[in-house]
Amino acid sequence: MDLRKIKKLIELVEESGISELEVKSGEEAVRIVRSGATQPAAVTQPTTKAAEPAVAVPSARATIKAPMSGTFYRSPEPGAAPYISVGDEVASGAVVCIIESMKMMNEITALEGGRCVEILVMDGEPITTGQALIRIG
Amino acid sequence: MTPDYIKVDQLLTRLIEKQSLQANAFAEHELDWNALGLVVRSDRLMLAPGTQLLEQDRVAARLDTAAAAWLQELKIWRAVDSTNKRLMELAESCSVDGMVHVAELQIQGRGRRGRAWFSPFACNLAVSAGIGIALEPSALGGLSLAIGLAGADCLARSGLDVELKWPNDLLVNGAKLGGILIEVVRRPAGVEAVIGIGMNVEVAESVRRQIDQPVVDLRQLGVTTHRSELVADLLGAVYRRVRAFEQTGFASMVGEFNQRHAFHGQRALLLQGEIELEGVVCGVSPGGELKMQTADGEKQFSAGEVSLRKL
Repeated sequence: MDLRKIKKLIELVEESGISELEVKSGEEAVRIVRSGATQPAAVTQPTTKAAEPAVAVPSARATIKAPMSGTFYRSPEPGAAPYISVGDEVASGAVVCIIESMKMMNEITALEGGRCVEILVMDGEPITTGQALIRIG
Repeated sequence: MTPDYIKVDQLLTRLIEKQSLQANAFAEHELDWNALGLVVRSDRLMLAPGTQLLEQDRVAARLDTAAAAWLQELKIWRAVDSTNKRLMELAESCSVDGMVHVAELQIQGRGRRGRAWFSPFACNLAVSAGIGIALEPSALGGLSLAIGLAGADCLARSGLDVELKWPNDLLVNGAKLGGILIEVVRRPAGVEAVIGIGMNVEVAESVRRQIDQPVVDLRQLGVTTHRSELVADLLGAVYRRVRAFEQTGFASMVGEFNQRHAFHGQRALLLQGEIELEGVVCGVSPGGELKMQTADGEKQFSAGEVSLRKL
């Protein structure tokens, strides 16, 4: 099971809104748990005797939190490509999402660079101050 | 001297270049030039009689000293996709503090999340101002309401008293006179805000019919102030409100806002996506949130659209 496949699975879980997904493929198994703010997105359980390189989604080093309450948007405008998706490399200072608060569109930037491990909020979802939005690994 | 006409083909080219109107749209539909504030004479578009074009000198002459010191550049577009969009693009490569873009004709005026803001030629105000604010993004709560007050300040100078619909629509007798959209960019020290304000100066009847809500314009309300002077008044007011906001936040403006607050004390609906909440509008918080008395007690909201409950 390669990283690309796992990334796809994570996206699938995110889109569907189901809370947990376990996929077995030969001797390997991966379990993806959609969690709240505290757990990493994916928990891999290599059941092989390390025949293949262990596949592990890096744990998050940084969590981008909402500096204000409002509505979370992944793209600059409806129909436009999202700023980032799970698996993307994010440069320090890059815009990762927009929070609309009282007709003010706030660009939210990544304080440190890394790979986007998890997007915890759905596009258009209301959020509160301090809520974890995006995990960077 | 400002020219009193624009070649039809030049304007068409510009419109099509911006891709907001496809070439075939012109062939299939007769474009309502009157709605754009223009009169067709052979191959030329003439300005409607009495049209007030935006003039640099006239803005400069009216602008107060503090705002004049802040202003770096005033760009007047004949036609542009969106003044906010121009400034936001500029903000990717440089500071936009003191940069102001205004347009005679705005094709893709940006409202909230891409909602169109119809702006015919020289009939409205479309002003976008870039301004540096020495505050963290988390301290910007209520800024958009403060800018609503700036809109009210600007119009007060022309003798007009407006109401503000949370968070910052400008209303007169329940009809929309103007709207505001702010886009915020993070900077090493604080932020830069691109503040976009649209205001109806003179809306043709044919345009009015295309808008899905009651609208009102300044000329109807007896305000005759030249568009260029309104731009200057608006910039002065925005500059003052932003500097005051930097010092004390929105907290010091809550009283003023509540006095102008549309639907205050009335039963209204708050629409948040699919969710509809009902309650009595009871003011705004120091952070700019809407306060409503609901069945579950007093609640504060930072997102949603307020409308009067239909009886």
